[in-house]
Amino acid sequence: MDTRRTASRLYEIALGVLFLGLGVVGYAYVPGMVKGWAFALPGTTDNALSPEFFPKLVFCLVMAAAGGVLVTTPRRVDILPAATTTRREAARVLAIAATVLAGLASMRFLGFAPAASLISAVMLFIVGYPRKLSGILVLVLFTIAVMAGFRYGMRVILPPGALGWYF
Amino acid sequence: MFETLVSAAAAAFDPAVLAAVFVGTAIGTLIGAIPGLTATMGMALLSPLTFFLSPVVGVGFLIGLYKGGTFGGSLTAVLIGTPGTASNAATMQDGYPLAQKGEGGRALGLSLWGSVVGDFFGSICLVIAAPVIGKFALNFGHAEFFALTLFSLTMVAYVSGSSLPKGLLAASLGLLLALIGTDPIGGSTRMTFGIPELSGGIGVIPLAIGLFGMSEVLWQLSAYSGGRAARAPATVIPPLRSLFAELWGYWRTILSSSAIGAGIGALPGVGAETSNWIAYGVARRYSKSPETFGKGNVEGVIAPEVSANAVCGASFIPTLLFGIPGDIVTAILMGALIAQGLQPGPMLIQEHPDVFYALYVTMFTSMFMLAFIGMFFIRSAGYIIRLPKPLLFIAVTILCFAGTYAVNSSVFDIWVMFVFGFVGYLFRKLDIPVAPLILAFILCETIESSFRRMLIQSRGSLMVLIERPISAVFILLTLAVVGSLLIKSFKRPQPV
Repeated sequence: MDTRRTASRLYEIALGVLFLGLGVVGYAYVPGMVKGWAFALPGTTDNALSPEFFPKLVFCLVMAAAGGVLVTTPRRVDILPAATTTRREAARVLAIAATVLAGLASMRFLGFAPAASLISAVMLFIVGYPRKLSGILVLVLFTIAVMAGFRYGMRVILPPGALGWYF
Repeated sequence: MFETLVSAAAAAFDPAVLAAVFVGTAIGTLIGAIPGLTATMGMALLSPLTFFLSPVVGVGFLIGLYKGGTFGGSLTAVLIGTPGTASNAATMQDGYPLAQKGEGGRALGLSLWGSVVGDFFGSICLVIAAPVIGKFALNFGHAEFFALTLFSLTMVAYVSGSSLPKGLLAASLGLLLALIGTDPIGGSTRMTFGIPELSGGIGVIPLAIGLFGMSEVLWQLSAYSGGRAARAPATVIPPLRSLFAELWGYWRTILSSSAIGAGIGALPGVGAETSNWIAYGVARRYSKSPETFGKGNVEGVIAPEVSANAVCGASFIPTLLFGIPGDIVTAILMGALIAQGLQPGPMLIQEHPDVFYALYVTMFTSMFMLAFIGMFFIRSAGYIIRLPKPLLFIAVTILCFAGTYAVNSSVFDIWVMFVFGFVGYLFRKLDIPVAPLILAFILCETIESSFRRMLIQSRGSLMVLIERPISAVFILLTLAVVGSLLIKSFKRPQPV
């Protein structure tokens, strides 16, 4: 059988198992995920009043859907995009994600404009854009325009950094 | 009533509203015309801007954006054979062959005016249906709301792509995410895992921006290979008179496609991505020359465009009158209305008639704006298509940050947005549809509170669902849809 098709099936099985596990664990631990209580009315309203009632139903739905994925996997013949992803593509996504995360973490100290400009510059290098200098210039100007638009148009001050209000 | 209508018209013709509709339509068309950017992404990215505007100005901007985005996708579908949005995928089948024959201008002209006619039809449906359905909706109790919302959730099947279980999985994840925060009945905090920022729940805007905006950035930039952007062929637009004469010749197709678009738009949960293909299929089925479809038949351009834009007006029927979004775009628009303090549902027309009727008028003013702006864009589409992808999508990243932060001035929201951007990317890689997740997320509060309140009122009995006629009808419809889908999914194999 085509390796990509096998990989697609494995991904689907992993997906089904992951969500089945989530459903089972979630259902079992719902009471621990709820803070608070609900008073019971005499009669039959206790269940519906409980804040755990609906989450339990939803976790059952998660289990049913995951079961559906597992049952239909052997009959599926299509190839998932995940099975055709190249190493270069995966590495690029991870690099972009790491850049954005680092940029977000630095936003508290640097402020919106420097952090966003930094993210933009690194992303241009990651994707291999040929005209880097002009690209960085355009994106820095765009960031400043967005910041000014939000500040003066909508009275929203985007995260200021330790460097002060103007950043 | 008359005074309300006059004040609504005055509000809708306010220069600020007209300017907002104009700008919204222009940005929407631009966004729709850029492959990879969609009306949904545009709505998610730009809806935070409207929180700082008055309701009519803000929603007018979003209506313009919606309509412009729905049409804009046809520009690239016709010129370079890449639909800007899923709503225009069927247009490409015949639009692109026409452009290759040197008739791109004719295809774009027909596509624009077909969109305007469809838009008019959808808006008329809203105007006619709203008062009748509005009165009917006032009879809805918890059982009826639960049954209708449940029926809407089954519509998830139609936006589930190739696998119903995966659609259901996405929907159940949407429901789970919506449960984070405060219990709507008792006020207890649920599933916050000790994170104080989650006690108010996850906002629909960070979720939508992440799933539609950030995930697209990751998708596009990871696949960027540095090639040159596609060049559009030169287009010559025929005179308006000949375009109108040609459209008139296809009045039957226009009427049937409008009816298909409006009918599908009025159904909760299904939108233009579905209607354009159905209208295309029907037009081919009843065409005098079905063998020319796919080779450059203008009917194959008119039918999907008319139907995609007829969805716009009609999708406001379930959104405004029941608080149940007609499609993903109206789901985001509903989030914007709620942020403005306007709760869509049967009481909206009673409590805010001025805003409600101003939206009516805006539907029509945006239609004229679309015609005007569309004429400009079909002449300049060639330049838009050549925008460099990396710069464009990195700019979108910056907008994702700013737009998300603006909602609550919260950096935590940006983190949430980014996490869902990554989730959206993984969903695409695993062929899991995102639309059911966002629909279920939005419908969750209605479905949970109506279900639990119904049970409290009926002392735990589900029989109330079949004892009340309206809820019984929706429950029967739900069972019929679920039954037919189960039979279908077990009968056929599962290829795409």
